[in-house]
Amino acid sequence: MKDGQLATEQESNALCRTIEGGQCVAWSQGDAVSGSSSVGIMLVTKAAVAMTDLDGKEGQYHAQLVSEPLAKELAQAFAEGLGPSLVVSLSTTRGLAEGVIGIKLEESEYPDAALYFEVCTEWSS
Amino acid sequence: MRRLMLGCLVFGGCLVKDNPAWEDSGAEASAGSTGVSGGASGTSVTLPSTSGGEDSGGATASQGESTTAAGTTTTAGGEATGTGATDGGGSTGQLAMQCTKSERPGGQAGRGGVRGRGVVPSSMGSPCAGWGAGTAPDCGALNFGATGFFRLVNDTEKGKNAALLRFNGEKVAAFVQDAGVDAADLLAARLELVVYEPLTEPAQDSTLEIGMLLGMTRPGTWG
Repeated sequence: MKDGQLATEQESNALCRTIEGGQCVAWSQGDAVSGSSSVGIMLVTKAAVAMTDLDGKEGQYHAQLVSEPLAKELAQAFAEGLGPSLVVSLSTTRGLAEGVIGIKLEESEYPDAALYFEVCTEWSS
Repeated sequence: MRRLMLGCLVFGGCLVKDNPAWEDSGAEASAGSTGVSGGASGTSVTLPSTSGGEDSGGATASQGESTTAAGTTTTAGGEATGTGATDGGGSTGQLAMQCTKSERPGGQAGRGGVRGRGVVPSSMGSPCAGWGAGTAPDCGALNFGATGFFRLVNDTEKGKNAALLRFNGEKVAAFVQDAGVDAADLLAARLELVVYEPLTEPAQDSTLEIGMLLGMTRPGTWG
């Protein structure tokens, strides 16, 4: 679901990894959210937002934040061409009355999501 | 010693920057210089510059959740020493090797090319009033709007919403290969996102959880 619209051809949703010719090609794990394995977190804090707010507009922020180091398994899955998908959600409850929080994707005004890797260059023998 | 990864590779970006959230988690802020280009998508942005200091790249979350690549200490040049990562050992009787020096992040592996899609598990209810009624979804109040914004609702009554990110797995794998990195030397990945709230600053700290799904990659398709 994007922009309040249900997933359609060549898109994904909770149950369909993709939709091809109107047919749902299911995730092997079943449900995308409950079937995903946690690989780490991203902290959204006042300090982080203050340092990374992209526009400084009054009454709103667009903070370009970087996650904590995510599991080695994720990096290796990318390196090995397994093509992992990422599921980003709130880890704690946040009622609808508590305000909106979300992420920007595929919106030209803001940089799209990016990946970085950490690599060991020396190992003890 | 294994192979050395050189930074600033592929997709036109060079990034060695801080995660300011670490300051809240008790870790020292990190070092580095920025000047990031948008990369493959053509989008360009300059990130706030920082300088000096040392970094503990693998901070522990302030909410008490642990992360996976903890213990790294990174210098201003992006190199790290004394990481807590180990490798090998196992049941063969070999001694586990410990990473004594690392680099991060080495460059953007995948800006652009995201196939972002929201995910709303039907089993967890709907965050949008009116959904499922057979009419146009009433998500206006939830600010899905007409842009690529995903509200991360997680309400016990209204349901859970998540954003689904699908990088071009082939490009990412090629990036790693082109950089001459042995997959066994990869310690961790980091994800960069633009987070939005209609507030000047967060009224409360939040933690976003990042999950991994292994899809059924096929030739010619993204992971």
